[in-house]
Amino acid sequence: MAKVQIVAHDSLRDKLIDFLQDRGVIHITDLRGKVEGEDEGSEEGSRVDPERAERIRRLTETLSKLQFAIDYLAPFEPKKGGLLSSLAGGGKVVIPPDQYERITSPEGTEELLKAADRCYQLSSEINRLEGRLSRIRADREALQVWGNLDAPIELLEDTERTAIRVGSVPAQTFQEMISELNEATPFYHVELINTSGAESYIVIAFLKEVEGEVNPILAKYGFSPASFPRESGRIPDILAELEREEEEINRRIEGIRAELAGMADARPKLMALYDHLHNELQKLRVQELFLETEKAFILEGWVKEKDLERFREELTSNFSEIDVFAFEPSPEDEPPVAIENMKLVEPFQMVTNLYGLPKYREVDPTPLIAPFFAFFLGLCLTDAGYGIVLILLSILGIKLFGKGKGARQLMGVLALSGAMAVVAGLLTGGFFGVKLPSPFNRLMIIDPSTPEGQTKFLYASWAIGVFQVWVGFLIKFVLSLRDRNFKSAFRADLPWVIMIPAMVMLLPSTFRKIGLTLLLICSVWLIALSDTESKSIAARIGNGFFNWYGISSVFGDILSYSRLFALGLATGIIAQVVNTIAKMVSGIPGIGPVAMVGMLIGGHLFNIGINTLGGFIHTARLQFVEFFTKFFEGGGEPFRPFSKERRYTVVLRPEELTA
Amino acid sequence: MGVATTFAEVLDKLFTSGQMYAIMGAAAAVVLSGIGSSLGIRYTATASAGVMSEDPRNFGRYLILVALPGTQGIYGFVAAFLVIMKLTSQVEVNGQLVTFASAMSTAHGLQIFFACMPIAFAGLASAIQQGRVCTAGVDLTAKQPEQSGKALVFGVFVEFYAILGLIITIFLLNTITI
Repeated sequence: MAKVQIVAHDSLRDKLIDFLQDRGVIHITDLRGKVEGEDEGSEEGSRVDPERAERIRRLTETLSKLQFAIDYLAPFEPKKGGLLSSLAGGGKVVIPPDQYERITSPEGTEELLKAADRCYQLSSEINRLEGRLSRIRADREALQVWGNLDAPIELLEDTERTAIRVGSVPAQTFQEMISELNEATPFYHVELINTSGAESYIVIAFLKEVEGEVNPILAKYGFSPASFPRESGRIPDILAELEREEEEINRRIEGIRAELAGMADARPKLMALYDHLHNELQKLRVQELFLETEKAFILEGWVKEKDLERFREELTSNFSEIDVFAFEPSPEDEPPVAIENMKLVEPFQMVTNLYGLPKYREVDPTPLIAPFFAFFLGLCLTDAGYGIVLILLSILGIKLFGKGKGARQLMGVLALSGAMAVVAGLLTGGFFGVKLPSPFNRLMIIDPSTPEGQTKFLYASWAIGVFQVWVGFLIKFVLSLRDRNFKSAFRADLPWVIMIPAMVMLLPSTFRKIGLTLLLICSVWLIALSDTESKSIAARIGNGFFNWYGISSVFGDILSYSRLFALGLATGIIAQVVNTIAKMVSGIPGIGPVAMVGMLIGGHLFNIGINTLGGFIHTARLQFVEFFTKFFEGGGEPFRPFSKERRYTVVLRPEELTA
Repeated sequence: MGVATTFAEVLDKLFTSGQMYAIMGAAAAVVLSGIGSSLGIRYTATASAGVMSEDPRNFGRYLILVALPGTQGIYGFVAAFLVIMKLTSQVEVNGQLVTFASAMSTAHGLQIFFACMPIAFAGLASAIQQGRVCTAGVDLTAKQPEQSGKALVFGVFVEFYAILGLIITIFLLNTITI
C-alpha cells in the first residue's frame, strides 16, 4: 500500500471524482476528521458546505423513495424466465448500456421519479381503502344480526311518553327476564328481532313513568345497548348500501393493483436508477472526507503498490492543475488490507475474513489454514461417496451462483474439502455408509466400525492436533525471525517448537529419555528467559513460569481436536442408519423400491448437509482458537476502494451475457 | 423363559433383565439430548422468525444458527444406535447368519445405561445453552449480517461439551463386551 495525497483546483472537482470512482483503485481516508482531530477549534478546513449537505439530504430521500417503490412493486412483478436466467447476472438485473443511458438522462430520471411518487401515492391509497374496507366489514357484521328489524333507525328514538331501548341480552335468560318484567309492570312491549349465537337481540318500549322498574331489570339481565353506524334509514337498506360500497372499494383496489402491476415493468429501471443515484450520493459523501480551502481541495488515500504508477500517470496526463504525492506508509499508519492468494488457496480467504483480516504488517494466514481446513472438513465427513457428492454439488453451485465472490469462494472451499473427504473415505473405507469392498480398500488404515479402529481414529485426531499446534508455534518463530525480533524468537518461541516434539517422544519408550531431557531443558529455558520485558529477576521468573504453564492450554488445544473424530464417526453412523432404514422400507409392498430410493437419496443428502455445516463450523473453530492464537492477531481494516457500487443491476451488452 | 404369573415376578423379570437397562440407556440418550435440541432450536428459531418479520433477508444466515443446537439430538441418536447394535448378536447356524437378542446380564445392562449418561446430560444442557448463545447470534446477525460467522463460532464453543460427552459414551460402550 502507498499513501497518496492529491491536491487539486476546485474546477477539477467533479471530473476528478468521476475519474477516481471509475478507476476504483484508491481507498479514501478521512483527512478532514484527522486534521480536525489534531487541532480542535480551528476554523481552517472544517467548513461544511451547506449546499452539499442539502444535496446529500435530498438524494438520500430520493433513494429511500426509490427503495420503497422497488420493494413495494416486487410482488406485482410477473415471475419470468425461471431460476437460471435470473441468475445470469449473478442475481442482478442486466441492463443494456443504451437503456442505462436513457434511464439516467434527466428526462428518464424525472419520469422514473414520478413513477416512484405515483407508486407511493397508490400504496397510501390502498392503505386508506383497506382501512375503510375493514370498517365497513365491522359495520356489516354488527348490523347483520338486526337484519329483521323493519323500522327505520330514526323511529327508535324516545317519544314524549315512551322510552325505546335497542340492544341484546343473553339468550339463555331471556324468558326469565320477560317473566320478571311481567311481574313488575304491564306497560311495556318487547319485540324479539333475532337470536344469534348466545344473544337475543331485542327492541323494548315502555312508558317513561315505569323506567324505575324496567331499567334495573334490564341491567340485571345484562342488557347491552346496540350502536348503529348510521342515524337513519332501514337496516336492510343500510346493509345493501354497505355491500355496494364494499364492492365499489374492492373494485377500486383492483384497479389500483392493476395499475401497480402495469408499473412493475418499470421495476428494473427503478433499480438501475437507484444504483446510479447511489453512486452519485457516494460521490457527494466522499467529498466530506476532503480537506477544502477557498480554491482547492486535498484528499488522502491508499493505493496498492502495483496500481500506483499507472494511477499517477493517468492522473497527471488527464488533469493539469493537480499535484499527486505518494509516500511509504509510516510506522504510525495503519493502512487498509487487501489480501491476494493463488487460485487454489483463494477460496479460503472467506475463512480468514470470517475471523477478521490480518493487520497490515501481519502475515496473511490464508495459505497456512487452507490445507488444514480442507483436510479437517474432509475428516468430518470421512466418506468417499459424500466427498464425490460434495464436489459435484459445489461445481453445480459455481455454475448457478458463480458470479458472486462470496458464493464462489464457499463453493471452492466445499469442492476442495470434498476432495479431502474422498481421501479420508479411502483411508477409513467409508462409501455412503457401506464399507468399501476388497479392491478399493487397499488404502484403508482405520476401520471405524470396530472399537480398535475408533481408538485409532481418536489418536489420529490428536496426532493431527499436535501437528497443527506445532506448525502454529513454528510459524510464530519464523515470523519473529522475519521481523528481526530475535529476542522473542530464541527466548520465547523456539522452546515451544522443540517442546512439542519432545512431548511426543515421551510416548514410545525408546525415546523417552531424550524427550524427557529436552522437555526439562525447554522448561528451564522458558521459565528463565521467556520474559524479555521485566526488569527484576523475580518478575522474570514469575512471568516465565506463567508462560511455561501455557503447556496446560496446549493439552487443551490438542484434546479439542477430538471433535474431528466425533464428527467423522457420527457421519459414518448416520450413513449406516440411512442404509438400514432404506433396507427396512424396501420391504413395504407396492411402494417399497420407490421408498427405498427416496430414503437413500433424501437421507444421505440430509446427512451430507448437516455434517458439512457442523464440520465447517467446527473446523473453522479449530483454525481460529487452536491455530491462530499461536501466531495471528487480525483486526485489519479491509481495503475498500472508492468505486462504483451496484446493488441491483449490472450494465452489460447482451452479447457479454453469455461470457 | 417361563411365564410370569404374579406382578412381583413380572417386575423381577423386568428389572433383572440387562436388555431392559440397555434400552433405557439408549432411550435416555435420544430423549434427553432431543429435548435439549428442541428447546435450543425453539429459542433460536422464534428469535429468527421475529427478526425476519421486520427484515426477511438473510434467511440462510438465520437457518444455520437455528440448525446449530440441533446437532446434540443427532449425537444422542448416534449413541443410541451404538447401543442398539449391542442388543442383538449374529450367530452362524448351519451356514446361515441368525440374529439373536444378546444374552445380557443385569450388570452389563446397567453398564450400558450409565455409559449413555454422558451424551444424554451433556447433550441436554449444552443444546439449551447453545440455543441461548445462538439467539444472541440472531441479534448480532440482525444488526450486522456480515458478522454472523462469528456468532456461529461462539455457538460451537458450547457444543464442544456435547462432543466430549459423545466421545466418552462411545468409548465407554466400546469397553463393555458382551
